[in-house]
Amino acid sequence: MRAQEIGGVGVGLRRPYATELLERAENLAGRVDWIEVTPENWLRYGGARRRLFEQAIECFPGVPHSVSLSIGGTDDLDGTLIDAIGELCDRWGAPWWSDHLCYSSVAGAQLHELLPLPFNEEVIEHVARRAERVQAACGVPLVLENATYYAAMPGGTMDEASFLVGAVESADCGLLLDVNNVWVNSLNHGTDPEAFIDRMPMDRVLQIHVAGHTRFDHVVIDTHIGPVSEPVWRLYRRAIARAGRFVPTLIEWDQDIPPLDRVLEEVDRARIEAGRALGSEETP
Amino acid sequence: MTLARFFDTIGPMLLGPADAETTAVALLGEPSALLTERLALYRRFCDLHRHGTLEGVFAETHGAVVVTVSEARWDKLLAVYFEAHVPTDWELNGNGMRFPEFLARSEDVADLPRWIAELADLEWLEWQTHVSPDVPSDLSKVGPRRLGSTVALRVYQHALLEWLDADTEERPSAPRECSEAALGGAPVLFWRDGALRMHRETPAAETLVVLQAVELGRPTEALADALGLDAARVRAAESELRTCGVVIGGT
Repeated sequence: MRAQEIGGVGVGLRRPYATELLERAENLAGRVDWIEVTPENWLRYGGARRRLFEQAIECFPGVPHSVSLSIGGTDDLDGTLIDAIGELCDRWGAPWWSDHLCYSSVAGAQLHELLPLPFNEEVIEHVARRAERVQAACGVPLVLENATYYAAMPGGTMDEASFLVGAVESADCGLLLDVNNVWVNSLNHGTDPEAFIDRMPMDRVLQIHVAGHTRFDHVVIDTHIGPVSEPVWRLYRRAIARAGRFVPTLIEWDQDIPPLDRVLEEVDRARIEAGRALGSEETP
Repeated sequence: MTLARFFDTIGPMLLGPADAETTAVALLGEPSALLTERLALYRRFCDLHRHGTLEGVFAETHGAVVVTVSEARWDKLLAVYFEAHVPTDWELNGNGMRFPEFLARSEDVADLPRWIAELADLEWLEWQTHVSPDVPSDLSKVGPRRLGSTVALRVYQHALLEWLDADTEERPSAPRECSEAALGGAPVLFWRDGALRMHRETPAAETLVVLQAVELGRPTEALADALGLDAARVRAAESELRTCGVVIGGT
């Protein structure tokens, strides 16, 4: 299938509101422009879950956003996952798929967690080699997301922004800029989030994530709970202004998921904030 | 530190056996308290995912182990299971596939009552009935008489359905043992219907005859006669099994 256009604001396909999202799909035209699906949570299933998933990709354009690629790991790349995502992209017309600049398996075991890599040249080269193989196998462009890190891993020789830019440029990948992750990392490590945004290669940014986070006593966790915070919206406006275009934006609300209408309020807010960033009070 | 050495060092902590303090020292020699604390956080996250792998599909089994033995025993069970069966599946729940077999056969679980392994098997089959891949021939009424792809029959030594479906306030601490029953235990039939709903129920004798006839490729009535069952009731059972998608084709 020819790749579809992805633009505007999207939401993740989450089971608590998926049925309602599909029932209201016609009325949400121009409001929810696209969806993001976590393939690990859908592709293996048949039955009612499969039917829901098929209806969703029929109703909305969108992209897969996986969590198990382990692009920075040293375990063999999982061909079953890559093939399944490639087949989905082809059938759905997804113009790209995304995963995280991290590792999520070790010693052959899936950890189902996005884990930080050492920020150094060896890892950049390693990621670039694996990304090339993934893109060749899948046939669809891979986009890498900046992940949160709660500890800088030993062996690091550069800061996170240099590592991220080095990785996506060496791998010749698109960038999924998670603005909430930028903010959370700045809180945990005392870095300057605006400077980080300013260093991003905006021509490579194909997609943006915004989400909520949770403050604990000694650490801020990227929980995807709750509404997007005001500092994250400020960073979002900065990113959009730097890009000079309405980068496709996804609202991530993945735990303690509220009624769909509450998520849609965040969708509307993203559209307004993007408009403000682009110097227009009108909806972009 | 090379990337290979990094993974060799941090891997055992993420997989469970090593603690954060030892790992932090192995990584950095003299780590900060903050690094150790944050490594412990990652260790905890990975552990939570392993728990999530089993505690979703095997919720009743988890509860039964906790009530019968303790939460600590459950934690130990998980650690031993994942050491024996490395979670290689990117679909989280798929990594629980061998848990019922592990509970039934492993020497590490000899202290647990046998019905807990049966309960895990039942929960896994419920899950599989719910999500197993669609098979196109399930939707076709043509072709030879056959069972739907999601149909499964198990015979347990304990009355698990009676126990599971009891009001939790009145539920006894363990299901009734029923190995003296005519079939050598308590049969449970699982299937997914045309509306994609999961079912599991105790099948009647007539239902079991129909299932057996289909499996053996024999006429139902002949088998019913041989077993001394009422032919009309067996015909009615087959008709009902066709309606709910257990028996397909052959018409």
